[in-house]
This record gives sequence, structure tokens and C-alpha cells, in this order.
Amino acid sequence: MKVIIGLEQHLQLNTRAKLFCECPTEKYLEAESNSLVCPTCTSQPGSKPYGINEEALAKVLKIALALNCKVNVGKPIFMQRKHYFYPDLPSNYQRTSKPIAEKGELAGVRIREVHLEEDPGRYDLKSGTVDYNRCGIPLIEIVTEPDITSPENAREFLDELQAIMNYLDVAREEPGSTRVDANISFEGHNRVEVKNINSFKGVLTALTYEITRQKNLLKHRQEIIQETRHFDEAQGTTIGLRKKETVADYRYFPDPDVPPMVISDAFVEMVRNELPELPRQKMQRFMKQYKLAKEEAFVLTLERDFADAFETVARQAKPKDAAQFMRGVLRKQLNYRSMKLADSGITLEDLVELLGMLEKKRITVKAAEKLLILMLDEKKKLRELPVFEEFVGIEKEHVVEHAVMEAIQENPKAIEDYKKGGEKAFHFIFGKVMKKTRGKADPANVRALLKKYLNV
Amino acid sequence: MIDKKTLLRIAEIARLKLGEQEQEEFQRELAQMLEFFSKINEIEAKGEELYYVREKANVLRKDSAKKSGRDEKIRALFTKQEDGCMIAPKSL
Amino acid sequence: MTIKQFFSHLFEKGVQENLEQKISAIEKREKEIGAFISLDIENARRRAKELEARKKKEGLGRLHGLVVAIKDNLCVQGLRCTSASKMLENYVAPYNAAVVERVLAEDGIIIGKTNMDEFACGSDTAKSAIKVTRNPIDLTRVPGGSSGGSAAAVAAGFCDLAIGSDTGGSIRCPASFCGVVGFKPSYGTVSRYGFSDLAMSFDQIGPFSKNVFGAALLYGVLAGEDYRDSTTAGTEGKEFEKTILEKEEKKLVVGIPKEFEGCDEKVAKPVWLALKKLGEFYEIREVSMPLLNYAIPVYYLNTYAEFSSAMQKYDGLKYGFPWEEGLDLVEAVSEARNASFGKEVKRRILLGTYITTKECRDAWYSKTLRARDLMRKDFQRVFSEVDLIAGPTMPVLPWKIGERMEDPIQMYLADIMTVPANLAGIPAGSVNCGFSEKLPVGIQFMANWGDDEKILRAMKKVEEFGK
Repeated sequence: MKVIIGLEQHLQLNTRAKLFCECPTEKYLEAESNSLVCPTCTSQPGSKPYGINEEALAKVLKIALALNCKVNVGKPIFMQRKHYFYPDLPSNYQRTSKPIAEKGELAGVRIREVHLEEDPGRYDLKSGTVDYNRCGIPLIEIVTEPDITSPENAREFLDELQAIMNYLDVAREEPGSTRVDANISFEGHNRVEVKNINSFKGVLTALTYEITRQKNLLKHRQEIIQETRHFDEAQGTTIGLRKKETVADYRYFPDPDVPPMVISDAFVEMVRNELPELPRQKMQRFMKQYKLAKEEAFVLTLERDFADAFETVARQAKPKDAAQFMRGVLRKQLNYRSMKLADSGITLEDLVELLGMLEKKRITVKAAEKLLILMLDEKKKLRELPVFEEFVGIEKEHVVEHAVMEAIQENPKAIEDYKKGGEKAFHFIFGKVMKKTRGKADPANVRALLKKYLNV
Repeated sequence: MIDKKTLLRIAEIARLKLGEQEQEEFQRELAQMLEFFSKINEIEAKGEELYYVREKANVLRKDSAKKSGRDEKIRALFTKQEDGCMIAPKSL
Repeated sequence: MTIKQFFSHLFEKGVQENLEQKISAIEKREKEIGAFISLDIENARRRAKELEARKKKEGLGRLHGLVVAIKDNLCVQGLRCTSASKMLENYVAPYNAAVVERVLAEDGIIIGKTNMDEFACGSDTAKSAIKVTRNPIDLTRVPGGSSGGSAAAVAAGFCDLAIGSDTGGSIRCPASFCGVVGFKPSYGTVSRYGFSDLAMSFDQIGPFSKNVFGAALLYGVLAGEDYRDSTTAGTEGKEFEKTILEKEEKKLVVGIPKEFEGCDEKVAKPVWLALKKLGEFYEIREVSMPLLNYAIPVYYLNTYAEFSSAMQKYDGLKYGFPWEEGLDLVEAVSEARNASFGKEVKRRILLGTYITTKECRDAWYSKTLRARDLMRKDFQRVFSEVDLIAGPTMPVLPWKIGERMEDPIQMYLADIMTVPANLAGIPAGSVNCGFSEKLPVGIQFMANWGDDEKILRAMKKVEEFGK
């Protein structure tokens, strides 16, 4: 039986101020309850929406273009009032715009439309507490067509969406900054809406559970009721809402206090020119330019910072090796620590050096990983690590010099051959030194020392 | 007359818990008023729906944040509050 | 009247004495008139003292310490802002409305908040859930509404100026009934930030005064763009009280719609007399506006819809009439709302909700939106031929308190001359032009959007006839 899934994502945009007022949004989750509020976002009598936050609109356009949508230019786009009573909505209507862009595509899933709206506050059903700090933060809503066919398919889509958000730097990343509603049905049967999914991960859990639930019902020849179900994150289940609510009538109409938006071609072009290279484009370029496999390129380009780091490193180290190491060992260690590269303390110079040593087979991959772990745990640079020299086996300077002098003394015939112009003799002496130091001397250093002493 | 079912549905959407007598009165009055206003059907109103009496568009604002300084007074107005949080009825 | 003449009492007596004079009048007659919901005498006195001192050193702002009364649907921080409703009976405003900020910035003294119809739903202030206001000219009669308290306060000498709001005539009607000047500016020229909405695309805030000069002065102070109200537009700071004294550029043309016939003769007579005199200065013409006959249904259907939306915020949770413990969410909110809203308010909410539901939208709401567009266009047509449209402000004389209580439609019909201006967003003002049976009669002027000054000029002319 064919599964039909559509998703509606609500993502908080990372503007400094709210959508219709100047209240700050920074660290709103940590701020004291109801401290980041004003008459407008608590809907005091007489309050009015200020002009639309222009950054919020610009960010919506950026996202729309990255999703290959067609922007609705040249005609008025209304900000509507969506009426319903709920404690987290101080006006008891939500301001939500008509579609700003439509008919896009991502990972094979069609995007129906994107629009701009304001976030309600936070209301806890069990305790009855309400906090309006969040109220008024701008949201983009991205609505897909019901093109998704399975939880795995949903994951692909969401991974790509997440990567795009990362590249554009337009979305907030706190817990709860992403909310998803899912519509699931089996072909020919009623559709169920699942609400209250608060993370991309949760989507998979919710979808998997709901599909199983519906399958079981159908197996037992029971009909699937068209309803809205609530996702319980802790239990990983969807729950039917007990109370039979009359069908909502939101009585949409354009908000008389908010003049419409009219987007010009020029504005769209300006935003388009500011778009960075997008994940898919970058991935394909990596495959071509650095001759990487698709899987490697995919992991490297999931986050923009990581991809940029790779390219910097690949200028000084072998791209293939860099790719393998970064998307393998490095990625693994960062993920394990839930850390971003930028916050890890690992410098690109250190990465280049590690890769250099790996290439020259001075260290094994295991050793490289161990060094990396030490750098992360002890927050030190590569050469600051006390075990660095020992690990890598760089012999101490005076020992090397001694070995060089010994080798010269012990092999007078080779010296004579070299002085007569024999390159082979040089290599011979070099080999002797390396043998004496059990391969732990720095080759470049040995060569320099030899040259110094031989040219006396 | 507006029938009772319709009236109660509207009252529910509008969150008004009407009393019995009120219901009767409103059923009558609202019907009368709508009858009076149905005069509007005599106008051949073609054309656009007017939402704004002035032709303004794109009233945008720069993204800069400023604390309102009114939050304390606003919290003091909550009907019920605890530790700065507003308390609303629980949802069964 | 010149600035010096208008302010003569101030210049002669000073800021504090001017205030005391007003307080004295309040002490004498407020009990029988009931114009105020809240008085702020102590603060007013304190401020008068400050201003008096500052006047000597630096001089004062454009309002020079004049005493101003403010309708109780505009927020004055620290004072109650009730909209004359039980829902907000104890609501203390946490911020100042934009117009209040401007009054304070120009050194006006706010003396109190005035009575009105509950949430501005009415034309006689009798729908206030707080108290009754009586017409100072005849205490057995209504002062008009919904800004009845503001008009009465000015008429009774409780203040120099007052601020009201006008959605369908709520400034002009009480101005006419109380014999004072009331002016509704072009939509968008005065910020509505801090003003409790009735119908967002109709509401405007405007001045009351005993004379046109004062109304022009206050309008100039209030007008200007405000980034907190996206519907506002230009015209900042113009000193209308001066410009209306300047010579006119051309002879204004005044149109009188033949649809305005059919008014009570008692009202029509003083108005036609005034227009006749005006004909010596302006050109008077007849115009035809057949759509005016539909103004009432179009107005009410539109405003019901917007009103039902504006009233959604009142749920008793964030402020206002408290919700009852033990009830679930839906019950608690529904009970609080039903217990604290008056009948007219509930009627409007129910109808507004009804016509915007999916089932009714096309038949009612959509139709009324399109009809409004037609009416606006019709005004534009007429204003291409004339500068002003004139006629009586009200079709009848002020009725007795207690009349027109039962039948809402009777009440609505009183708005027939005033609602058209709000439908089109154009400016309109009322000035007294005579008396009938000892009751004041107002003449109304309307002009095209942005031509507020023309109305002020015309009203000034009429005012001069009376001298």
C-alpha cells in the first residue's frame, strides 16, 4: 500500500527583533518569563503591529530561492489574521501571510508554498503557564506537496533542508526552533494530521509510529478516522485528541493594520545575488573538482563551515586524504562531542600537518585519531601536546646530530663518492642516519644537517 | 429568525456563553438586523474587495531590537501569575 | 481668532489658574453631567506648577498648558483605560498612546478620561457600562456618541480641548449635539498606536474644541507619521491654527448631495441658512451620490467584521475581567466575555463573526468589501468637481436619554450623514451653525483625503457667522 506524506515545517528565523515589534529575540529561552515583551506582542488594548521586520522578509526570500520556488512578484501579498482562541496567542488571532513563493522543489519533493508568520507564545497544557517571550518571533512556514513516500524519504528531504538552512544562516537553532506538522495517509484512505513534532528527528519517529498504527487498523479492517493527532515526544507515539472539537473556522481576512507586501523583481535579484553556493551545488563541485565519491562529498557539504574548512585544507594537503580523514575520523569525533568544528579548537594548520604526516606514513590512521582526540580533550594545539614528539617519533635534535656525525665518520667511502658527485651516496648516508634513529628523525631535518656537515 | 444551532455555533466561535434569554433575543434581533442590511444586495458590487482605505504597501522596518521597558507593568496586569509566568486555565 | 486671543485667558491668568478654573467647573457640574470616568486632578495640578515655572524660563510647547480631556479608549499610562466596559473596568494602561505622548510633549495638561459608549459602539454614550453622561445644554438629553464625554467636557468648560475617536461619526455626532467643534482627520494622519480599535480601517482620532482655532491647533499637534502604526502617512507638524488664517488661494466649491434631503426640518433649517451665508464666499452646487443610501448597511457590515476581530483579544487572561477558577479553558473564556460585554457589543461580535464564516463570506462580507470600494470611488468622482461636501451632521436633534435604547436599527439610522466619510477614509468636521428648540445643530463638511485644511477653513467661516 502506498503511503502519502506531506510536511509543513515552521522554522524560526534568526532576526534580532520580533516580526511586528522591537522586542529582542536573543536567548529568549533563557530569559525570565515574560521579560522580552511589549504592548504589541502581548496584545494590550490599543497596541498595533509595527512595520514588518524587513530582515524576516529577506530571509524568507533567500529560503524560497534556495528551494527553487517562484516568488510572487509585483502583486500585493497580504498579512492575514487567522482567528482562533488559545492562551499562547495574545490577540487570539495569528498573523500569517499569504504565500510569498510557490512551486519549488527539494530532494525530489515539491514545495507547494512558503509564507511568513508570527510565532505564538508558549503555553503548557498541564500547568497552564504562559510565557510570551517567544510570541512574535518570525517564522517561515514551508509546505510540501504530499510527495513523500516513507520515513526514509522524509529523512532525505529533511537532511537537505537542514543543510540549506545551515548554509543560508537564516534559522534559529535552539530547541523548539523547528516545528513540523505531518499529514499521513494510505492511498485511498483518510488523512491524519500529526502536530507537535519539535525536531527533524521527531518527524521520523512520528511517521514510523503513525504508519504502523494506520497499517494495523487497516489490517483489522478498521477505518482510519480523519483527525488531528498530537505527537508525544517522550513516548514516541501519536495521541488522538479526546475532545470532539467543532471544525475550526479561522475567518481569514487581511489585517487592516498591516499594509500588504509587494515584492519587486529587483529585490528578488538582490537576494539571489547574495545566495551562497548551495549544498547540492557544492557537493557536485566537490565530486568533480576533488574527484570525490558522492557519499564523501555529501558528508563534507552538510555544513557550510565544514565544507569551507575542507577546501582550505585541500589546498595544502591531498584532497582525497583530507576528504577521507575529515568526513571519517574528524566528523565522528565532532559528532560524538556534539561539537562544531569552529568550537572544537582544532586549527586547519594542525589538520594539514596531521594529513602530511599520514601521507608520509610517519603515523598511522589510528595514531592520527588518538592525537585528534587528545587535541579535543585537552584543548591543545598539535605541537603543544606533550606526547607529540614521542607519538610521532621525532627524535631529539642533539641525538639526530650525533647520528649524522656518526654516519659520516663511519662511511668515509660514501662521503668520497658523494663529493665526486654521487647522489646515490647521499641517499646511502641518509639511510644510515634513519636506521640509527630507527626512522624517528625528521627527514627534512636530517637532510639539512647532512648538507651542512658535508659541505664543510 | 436565525436558527438556534447557527447562533450557538457563532457564539462558540466567538467564545460567548449566552444565557437562554439572550439566545432568544439575539436570534430575533440578529435576523432583523440582517434583514435590514440585506439592502446591500441592491448594489451591483462588481470589482475588488477593499481592505485598505489608503494605497500603502511595503511598510517595512529595520531589524533592530530594543527592550520596551514595559514588561513589569504588563506582568502586573495578568489576571493570574506565578514567577512572572501568566497562568491560564489548564486544557483538559 | 488669533493665537493671542485664544490663549488670552492663559496669558492673563497663567497655567495654574486656568487649570483651577476648569477644576472649579468640574466641581460644580460634573456630578450632574458625568463626563469623566477618571479624573487625575492631583497630577494635573503638579504638572501645571511645573509648566508655570518652565514657562518663565524657556516658554512652553504648542499647547501652552491647555487642559485636555482624553476619551477612555486611549491609553494614558498609569490611568485606567476602560473603553467604558466591565471587561476593562480595572485595566490600568501600561503605556501612553501616541497622541497622548504628543499632547504631553507639547505641554498639554491631561485632566482625565472621558465617558463613551462601550467600546465605541453607539451614538449617544448611553451604551456606557460605567455611567451616564448628560448633554450640558439640556441635561435630559444625550450628548451624542460615542465620544459623548469628551464633547460634554468641552461644552461644560471642564477642559480647553478634548480628544475623541470617530469610526462612523463618533466625534462629529457629539460635537453637533453639544454645540462644539469636532473634527475627524483624513485616515492615517493621526497615529492609532495606543487606541483601542473598533474597526481598524475606519477609526481615526481627532480633536474637540469650543472653537475651530483650538481644533486646528490640536490637530496639528496630533498629526504625523508613527512607525508603530503602519497605516500612518505624512503631514507632520503643520500649524493649522495659523494656516487657516491665511488667505485662500481660490474660491472653494461646496457640493450638497440631494440625498441629504429628508432630514428633520428642525435640523435642516439652521444648516440651510448657514449654507446660504456661505454662498457669499464659496460656490454652492448640488451633487448626486445615490450610493449614500446604502452607506449604513455597508458601514455596519464592514465594521462588524473588523470589530469581531478586534475584540478577540479580550479573554480575561492577560488583563481585564478575571476568568473563573475550576472551569476549563473554553468555558472560562466564554463566561468571562459574556459576563463583561454589554448587549450592543455582543450583537456586533456575533454578527461580525457570522458574516465572516466560510458559509457567509461570499454573500455578506465579500459583498460589503466591494460595495465599500464603490463608495470610495464615488467620493473621488464628486471631489473632482467640488472641494467640499456639506450638509447637516445629524439627521435629528439630540434625543432624550433612554430613547432609542431598544431598537439598534433606530440608533444606526442616526449615523446616516456621518458614516460615509469613514467609509472613504476622508476627513470631516462639524461646527455649530445655530439652534433649534434651544438645542444645538451642527453643519458638517467633508473633503477629499488630505484636504483637512479646507474643512477647517470652511468651519471657521461658519463660526464667524455666529459672531
